Amino acid sequence: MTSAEIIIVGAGPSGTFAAYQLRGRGPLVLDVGYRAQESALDGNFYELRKTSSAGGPDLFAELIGPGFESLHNVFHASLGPRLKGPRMRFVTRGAAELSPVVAQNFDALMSFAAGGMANAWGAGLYRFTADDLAGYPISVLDLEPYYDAITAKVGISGADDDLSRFFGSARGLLPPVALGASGRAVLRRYTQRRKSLNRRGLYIGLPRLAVLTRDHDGRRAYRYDTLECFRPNDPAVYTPTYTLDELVRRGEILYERGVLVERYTESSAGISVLARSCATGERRTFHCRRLILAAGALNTAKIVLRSNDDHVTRLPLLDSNRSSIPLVDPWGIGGALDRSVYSAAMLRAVYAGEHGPGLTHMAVYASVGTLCSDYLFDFPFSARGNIAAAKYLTPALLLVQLSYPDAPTLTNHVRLLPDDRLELRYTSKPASPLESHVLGLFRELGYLGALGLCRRLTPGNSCRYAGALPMTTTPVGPYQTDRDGLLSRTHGVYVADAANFTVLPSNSHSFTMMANAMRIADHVGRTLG
Amino acid sequence: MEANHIHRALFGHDAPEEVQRQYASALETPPLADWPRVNLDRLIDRGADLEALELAVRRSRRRNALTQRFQVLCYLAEVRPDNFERFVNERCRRPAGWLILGLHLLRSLYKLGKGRWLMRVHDIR
Repeated sequence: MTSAEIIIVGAGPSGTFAAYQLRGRGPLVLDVGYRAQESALDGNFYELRKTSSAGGPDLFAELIGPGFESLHNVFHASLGPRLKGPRMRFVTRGAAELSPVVAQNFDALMSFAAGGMANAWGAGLYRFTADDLAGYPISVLDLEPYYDAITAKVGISGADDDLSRFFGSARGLLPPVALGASGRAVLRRYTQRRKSLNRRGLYIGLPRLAVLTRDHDGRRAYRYDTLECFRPNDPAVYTPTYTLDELVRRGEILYERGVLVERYTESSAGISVLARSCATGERRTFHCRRLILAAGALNTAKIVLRSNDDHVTRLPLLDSNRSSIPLVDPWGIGGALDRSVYSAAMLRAVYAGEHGPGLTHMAVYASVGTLCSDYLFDFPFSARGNIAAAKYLTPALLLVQLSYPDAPTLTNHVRLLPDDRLELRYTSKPASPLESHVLGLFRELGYLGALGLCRRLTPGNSCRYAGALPMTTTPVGPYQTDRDGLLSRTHGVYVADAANFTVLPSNSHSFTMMANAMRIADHVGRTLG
Repeated sequence: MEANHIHRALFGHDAPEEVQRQYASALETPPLADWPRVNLDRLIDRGADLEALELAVRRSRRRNALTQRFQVLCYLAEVRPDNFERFVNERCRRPAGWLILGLHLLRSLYKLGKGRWLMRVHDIR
């Protein structure tokens, strides 16, 4: 039996930053920890495709994949562009076997990779404001020191602009990532009509990204290679594996890879953590005084339910529902494609008017950095016409993605079935009138679009899950945590990932997940003296 | 043969050998291998206009086996450097862009009509 004072389960953004906060105490991190294969791509996505020749990278292997990985969505439309590239498939590798689910109206995406889903994130890190934290037993002041510490560690680029009132302090930001022509056009038109748009609730600005615009903490600045969908581990685009590897290298944490935690038992002697070796299936037991669960909102809920042998209780399931609106800039048709931009984010927008369910955050993307074949047959022309459309329309395309807030309901739940699968049930919300309003606002900016082309993504597609074990001031029953993450009716089991979020605001929750994990880890450290 | 015909419908000439090999291999790999087979041979033998047929079938059913075959071949073709300029617009060509899209709109309307007629002739639903 291996013993440690503190065990952390999972090495995604929450687990890694819990470990980072406790680095002086040598916590043991247990993780399945799949890793990316090295990519041979070196250079700009478009230059490589244009000039690749004998001796260069094998583009078929890198962009399509020996198992035709990139063609995934031809047959199953569930993986985002950053998850389906051949070198990115490690992010969701093994999920179906390691954590099988029975889902109704829910595309559950889980990661057992070191760094978790953050290996494929857009790297947007946004602080929660007091509005976002409404209903939480903690305030912005509780999180602020940890937001600042992460900003200093990770390096976040962005600007103090119209969106600062929705994103919190701009302290410590690196200069923003450069925009391409289409992003600049949106901002220019927004600036010309700012007063009118603000009055009607629309604010547009630059994203805050964990993408380096100058060398930082031993990592180099972003080179505008536009390879986000195909090349994992660009040093300029932060993933928690960088911090994890650094902590292991410095001997500041212990890291046990290839281990799937199944359950825990608590007694007066401490906590026993029961796990299984992914390679051999052999059962292993670890012992600790404090256990921090950060295995991802769904897997953390599963570990807790399994530990209680509970196949009856239905825990809340929160998901950030999304819809996307494609827009065309008529002046951009036939324009040159932006070939050197950061493809996983372009601009952010917030709707703060009366037509939305509170503040609604939006991501605005250009269609760059992916293969046109992903969306070629969404165009209305014949196949040959669609190829021409891909060439001349792509530079004019924008995609506005709206994220909706979510709160617990009786219909949306997680339950552990007797056969050990997770049951996930989710009822889609009715279409929001906000989509047509946002469309109208972007029309005012000169973009064309039709409500009929607006697409509601299947719940779960956002990968933003939360709320199964919510934080409350006075926890009730065995499935709530106190404000410090301590699971009710336990003495040393803490929840440090989004499972303990009370509600899910529209704002991206990654940064708060990391900051809250640090806050909880800090508290755990203090309980041990 | 199938790869060649689809490639011809898309680009006006036969598929390079490498693409033919990759296409054949894709059809043998899950999930393509698990997908219901469509018999294109009969249509190819009769010289049917696959591009017109694909558009007509796509207009009635967004996800269908013929469009999936076309999409698979598009992926394989798109990553080849010799096709780069077909997919990516490097220089600003606004008037040309509008003109080409306008012509393709007219051509697509013609192909749609032809495709619907072919669906009836070949009894495709």
